[in-house]
Amino acid sequence: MRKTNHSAKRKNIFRISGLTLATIIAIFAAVIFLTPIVLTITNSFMTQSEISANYGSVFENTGDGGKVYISEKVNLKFIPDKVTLQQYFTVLLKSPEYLIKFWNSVFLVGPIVIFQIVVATLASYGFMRYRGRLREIIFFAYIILMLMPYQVTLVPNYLVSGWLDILDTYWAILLPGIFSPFAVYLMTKFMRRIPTAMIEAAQMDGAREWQIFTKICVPLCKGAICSVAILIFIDYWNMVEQPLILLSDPEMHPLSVFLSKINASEIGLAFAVASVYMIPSLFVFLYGEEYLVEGITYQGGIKG
Amino acid sequence: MEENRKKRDWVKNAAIVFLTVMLLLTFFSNTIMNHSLPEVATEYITSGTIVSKIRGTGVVESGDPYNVQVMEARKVAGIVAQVGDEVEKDDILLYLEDEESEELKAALDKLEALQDEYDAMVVSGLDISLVNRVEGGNAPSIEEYKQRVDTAKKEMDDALLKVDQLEDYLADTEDWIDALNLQISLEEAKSFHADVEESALNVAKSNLDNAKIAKQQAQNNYDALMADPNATPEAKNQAQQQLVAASTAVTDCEAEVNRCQQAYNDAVINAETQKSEVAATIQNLKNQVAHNQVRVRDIGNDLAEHQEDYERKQKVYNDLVNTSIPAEMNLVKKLEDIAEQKEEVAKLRDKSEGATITAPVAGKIISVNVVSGETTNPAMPVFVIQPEGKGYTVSISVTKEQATRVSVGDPADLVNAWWGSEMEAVVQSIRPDPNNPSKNKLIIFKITGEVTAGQSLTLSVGQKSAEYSTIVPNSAIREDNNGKFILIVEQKSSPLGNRFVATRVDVEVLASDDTKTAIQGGVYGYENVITTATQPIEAGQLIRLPD
Repeated sequence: MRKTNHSAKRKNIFRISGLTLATIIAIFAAVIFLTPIVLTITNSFMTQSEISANYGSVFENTGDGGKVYISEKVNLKFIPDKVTLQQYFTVLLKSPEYLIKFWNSVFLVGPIVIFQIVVATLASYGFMRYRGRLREIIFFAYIILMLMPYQVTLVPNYLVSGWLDILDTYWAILLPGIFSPFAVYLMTKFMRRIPTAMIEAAQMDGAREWQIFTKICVPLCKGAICSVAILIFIDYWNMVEQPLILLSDPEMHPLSVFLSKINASEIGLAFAVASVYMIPSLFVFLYGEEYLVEGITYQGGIKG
Repeated sequence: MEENRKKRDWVKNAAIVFLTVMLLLTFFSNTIMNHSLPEVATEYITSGTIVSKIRGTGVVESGDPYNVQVMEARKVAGIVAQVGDEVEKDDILLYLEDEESEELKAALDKLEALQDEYDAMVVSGLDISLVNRVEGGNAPSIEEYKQRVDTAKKEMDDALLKVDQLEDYLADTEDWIDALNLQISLEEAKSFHADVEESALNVAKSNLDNAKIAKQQAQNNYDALMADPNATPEAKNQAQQQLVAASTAVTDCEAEVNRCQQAYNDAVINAETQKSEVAATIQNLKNQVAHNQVRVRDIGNDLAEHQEDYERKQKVYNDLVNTSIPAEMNLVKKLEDIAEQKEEVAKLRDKSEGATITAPVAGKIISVNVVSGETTNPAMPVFVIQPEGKGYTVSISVTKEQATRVSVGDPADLVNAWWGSEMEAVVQSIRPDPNNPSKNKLIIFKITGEVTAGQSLTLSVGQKSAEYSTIVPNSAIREDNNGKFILIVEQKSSPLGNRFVATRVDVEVLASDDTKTAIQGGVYGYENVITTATQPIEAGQLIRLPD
């Protein structure tokens, strides 16, 4: 009896210690990850002169026109000396190009997310329903394509866009985005978890393929669809290489490209733009958070 | 679930509000931006003719004025001619008061001062015969002064040489006395004695005593053995041998003692002899010292005499160089100064003006620089006369580039000249502008007709013109370190609105006049050129056009 109590106590101590240690590590990691975001938001409320004083010569031009990144007199301040909305005024009221770039991002990402989901659900239903050697080969090809980084497929994309005469148009970005293999792969994995018995039961009830797809598969994959949509949104909201390479007109570039071209004279604006830039991603995540979690922890629909 | 639904609703509403705000801002962004953009005025590039006239304003100056000057300071009694009067040669221009001029008065004062200085020098103690010689015109020449100085110097130098010689002789004698004294000390330090021989003799004697003792011992031993019936023959032989040896040693020691004694005696005799020799040497040296001391005394007396002689001659020389001769020369100079001043006074008397100043040439009076009661200034002309037929000129400063468009002989037009319609202007000469010779040139126009010196005239000259295909207003031309350029308006249209951007085009100026400039560069001839703006603008900047 005593031995049992003693071992239970020791187990309890281990559990609490482990929990405490894990909490500390988690807090530490959270601070590290949150610091840049908090810094961006607080610095966006500083005046231009304060930002110049804090960051000093962060960037310096070299004699031959290039840029050298040095850190000199960088002072990371979280609390502004004087809170001002000057940067936001400049971004939102005096700089239409930033607003236009924001809408460029919306017009690029919106259709990609919507149509990629459509294409991915349809393709994954096909991969789920029809088995055979050909399907395996095609799916394997999808996996290979998915594993390749974008830089590898950049040149073929550029060439094909040129052949199709869609360079310097949004189609050069939309078409490759809509038919991206990543969503197909994820949706296929989710679709395959749907019990075959449900589909067979629906077939026996006289449902056609389209009805099975729309009435059974899609509702059951709602969580997966939201998860995939969020991932696609975040991925394409932050894209930089595709617009830089495929769109030569800077006025067609999305906001992510501007943020990649920060220079010393626009650090204050960059903070404000980055803060505004984060908002849509935040909304999307907050809206679909529940589905994201649900999608990750999928539970089957067969009872009994 | 309910919470999640509420949260999703909240996020959805927030996203809608955010997008609506962004949409409104975007919708009004152009309007807001345009109000902050600079408004520009533009003109299209045209073609046409540029008449490259040069314009400038200058003051009419006399062609070749004649300055009438009064060469002494005299008081003006009255002025007859005024500005603008036409005068003939020898016409009376002004009257002067009849008194000595200031220059003559000053010269007379200076002469008197010189005379006073001379008199003071004469009574200051100079030799009267010298004064008489100087006044009689027989002042010593420079060569005589030089000879006197050289003679005094030679005597002084000879005396000094003698003094130096005596000092050297005295020093040598004293050194010799010191050397003799040193030698005396060395001789006195010598000592002579026979210590070595004496100690050797003592050692020999000691050895003899020891040998005798040993012999006695050997004898006693031998006697003892011989008396002993038990002694062996060997012992007896040995004792006998020891006795013999001891006897021999005693004999040797006695011989040694004799020898040492003899040596000692010889050494003593030798030492005495040397002592007496040294005493004689010392005495001789002392005699020499006494003799040289007497000599030193005599040399000292000679030296003192010659030193006095040198000082005396040095005083004579200094007196001659610093006092006597300068005083004599000053006296001579003073007399010469007095003579010169008398000549000056005579000249001034001869040059003194009469009571009137007349015109040396016929012409027009263009300037009168004196009034009644004033004293004239010899450096300043009292009248300036424009001789008849000499003409007027106007000078205009222009850039070197403008000067290339004008040639000598080109006629010029009067600008805004409602008077002087009979006036004519012609380019007389073109030369570098003395105020800015590196960048500008001076165009000098000859003016004839009804004109007055001092009048301001605006002239334009240059009649070359040419056709040019790209002409812009002068206000469109801008310049920086990279050269001249213009800013043209480039329009960029998009579904979200029209944008106008100022774009830089580098150009070269071919010709220009007052309002237009002909250019060539990266323009096609149909561009819209920015002439003015409400704010300073740069290439690449967004602009807006007037409504």
